[in-house]
Amino acid sequence: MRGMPLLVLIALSPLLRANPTDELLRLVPAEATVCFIAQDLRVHAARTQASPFAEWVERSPWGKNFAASEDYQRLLKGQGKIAETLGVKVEALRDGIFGDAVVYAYLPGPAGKPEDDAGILMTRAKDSELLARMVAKLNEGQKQTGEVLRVVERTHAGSTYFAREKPEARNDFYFVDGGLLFYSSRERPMLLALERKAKAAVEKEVPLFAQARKRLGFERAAFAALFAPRSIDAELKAVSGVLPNEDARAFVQQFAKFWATVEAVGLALELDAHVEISLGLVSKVPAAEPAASALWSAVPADAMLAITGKIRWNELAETARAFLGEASSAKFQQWLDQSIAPIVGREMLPKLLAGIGPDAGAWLVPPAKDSKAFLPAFALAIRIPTIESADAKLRDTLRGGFDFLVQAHRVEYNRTHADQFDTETEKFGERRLTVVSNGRALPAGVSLAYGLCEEFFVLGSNPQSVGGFPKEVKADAKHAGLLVRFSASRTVKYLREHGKALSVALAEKSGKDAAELEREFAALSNTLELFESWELRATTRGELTKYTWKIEFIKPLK
Amino acid sequence: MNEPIPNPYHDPIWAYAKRERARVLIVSPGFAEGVERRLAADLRKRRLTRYAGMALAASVLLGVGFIALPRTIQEPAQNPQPAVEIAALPKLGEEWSEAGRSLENLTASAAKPALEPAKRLISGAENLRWPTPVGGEPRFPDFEFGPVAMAGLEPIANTPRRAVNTMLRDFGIAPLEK
Repeated sequence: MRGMPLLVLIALSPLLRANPTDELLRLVPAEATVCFIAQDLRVHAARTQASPFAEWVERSPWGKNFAASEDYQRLLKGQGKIAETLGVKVEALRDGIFGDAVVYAYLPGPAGKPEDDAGILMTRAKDSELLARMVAKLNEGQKQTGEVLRVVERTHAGSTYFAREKPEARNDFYFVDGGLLFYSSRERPMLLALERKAKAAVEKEVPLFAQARKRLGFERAAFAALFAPRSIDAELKAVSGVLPNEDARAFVQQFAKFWATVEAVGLALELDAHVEISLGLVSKVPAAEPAASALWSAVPADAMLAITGKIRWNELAETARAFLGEASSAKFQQWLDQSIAPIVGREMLPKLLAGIGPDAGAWLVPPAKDSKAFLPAFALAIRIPTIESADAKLRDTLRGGFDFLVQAHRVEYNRTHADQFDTETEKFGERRLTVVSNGRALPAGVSLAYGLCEEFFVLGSNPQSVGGFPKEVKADAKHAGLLVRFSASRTVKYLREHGKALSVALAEKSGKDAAELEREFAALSNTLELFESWELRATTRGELTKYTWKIEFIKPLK
Repeated sequence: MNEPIPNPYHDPIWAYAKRERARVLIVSPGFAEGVERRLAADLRKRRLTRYAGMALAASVLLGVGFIALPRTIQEPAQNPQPAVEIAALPKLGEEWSEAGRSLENLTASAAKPALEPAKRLISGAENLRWPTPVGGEPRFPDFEFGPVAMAGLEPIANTPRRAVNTMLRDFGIAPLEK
């Protein structure tokens, strides 16, 4: 029984070992300002190559074109030759040497000397024998071809590293210890990494990039790029001081204030059944949790593209002013006073900015089957006060202002053109819609329509887009932070059905050949066919804010 | 405050504006020049956005190709460590650079079929112009600070760009354009 804890520890020892990526990040020189990470390549490659998507893409027109392309074939041949020289398969290199973790750290050169920028590649190889063999083969092969003159042993910070002396003194450097490999084309990063390695064994403090990776939640990312935000503070300050333009100075100074609150920033790509590309930002100031926009429930099920969010217009105007110099801020106010204010009423403008929204959105849907239209139909909606609310007057203000703008444009157009725009009021159920039409100037099936739909002001490219707006919209937690959704599969369907008419219409406008445009749309369809949908979503967790672009392929990646 | 420009449609529109509670209709001179300047600035911004989008789209498509497609050209399979005649081999550095160039070309060609028509659609939409309203439009302030402010934020863009270029240089691949 007394031996049990020891046995358990031995059994768990592989789990207790530091994660290879964390281990490498501990060795990154403190002078590094950017780190690129690739991890678990072995697992990701095996999983993806065996996925339903890989099987599908191999048979798809896009996959066939890609695989048959001269460059892809040349790349494969090149890989083959390199593998032959090294005496190992590319897959063995990927899995045995680079399969666990690879880190590339960038160290900027002194100010004004970008030619002294340097980097160091670090990897923790699973197969240390393969690594040693590959390094020996590489040296041997390159010595034979004269690319390397000699390999010289050097020592620094208690470690032995090697300089590969090359013609014209274009030396490079490497260090191998068991499965650990450092490689750099400059000596400075190598020396700094070896110093770091000597210290890392006794240091308890978690280094910057290891901390950043954890705080950004990028532990599972297949690829990541991490930035040290403090490394550019001084440069940002110096630049803002010398800008000649007052607005630019105000803008950069305001941005510098925001940047000072940023503690970690990075990009990551996660591979699951789909791909997620995230921009992560850890700030000293916790961000508010993004709420779901109720408008997602109004987006038609067949929408090709939808963008919705919650915009507080008065806060947005204040933020915009903060980024302007005093003179421009005054000019901006003057513009508001002379443009929108006269239309809605000067005293109404602040009320309008505070009263409309925050839900706002727009979407594109394919043309209805029974319509003559070939262009997608669009709709744009913004929340307005309810008819029972104290601000109900804003509803009329908005509609009246819009009526004025439409009439002002219509009168001028009709004055200078033979074809004429007509406006009429149409009843769509209980809704009164204004419809603006011109059979010659507008494409087939398109007429501008707008109206008040209960709690929303809706504008669309045909009366159905507005009249069909649902009577009730409701926020759903599953849409929290969702900003953009693009359906690639529906867009492909639309392009296949209407690509020809679209090509003809675009050819008329642009003077291009319609057949060529049609071929281009077919190529676009072939590429989009790889995807099911794209989504952009904002999420927050305490001090962490993430913008994630989720890419769903036509078949799952695992 | 700018003076209204005389316009034959002023009176009917003024009456309409009054009816619709719009009290003042102000126009300003130099509107066209302002629009022209803003369009040029806009064009620069859009071009930058397109290049960034192109790079991102290309990376995703390229990643898809590499991860999902089989290696139709196989390396020697029978013997993992064949006895190779080193002297007969081409220079490894040259092979590596060649592979880098192919990778670079693939990045461009993988994205092109998707991005060219998309760009054409966008430029088609850009050609749409609203008719100018009667009495002109109030002049939007010339916020020329955009490009200058972007220059001020250069340190933010510059560091990642230099990092990527240094990595590409170390890996024998041509650097990104500035």
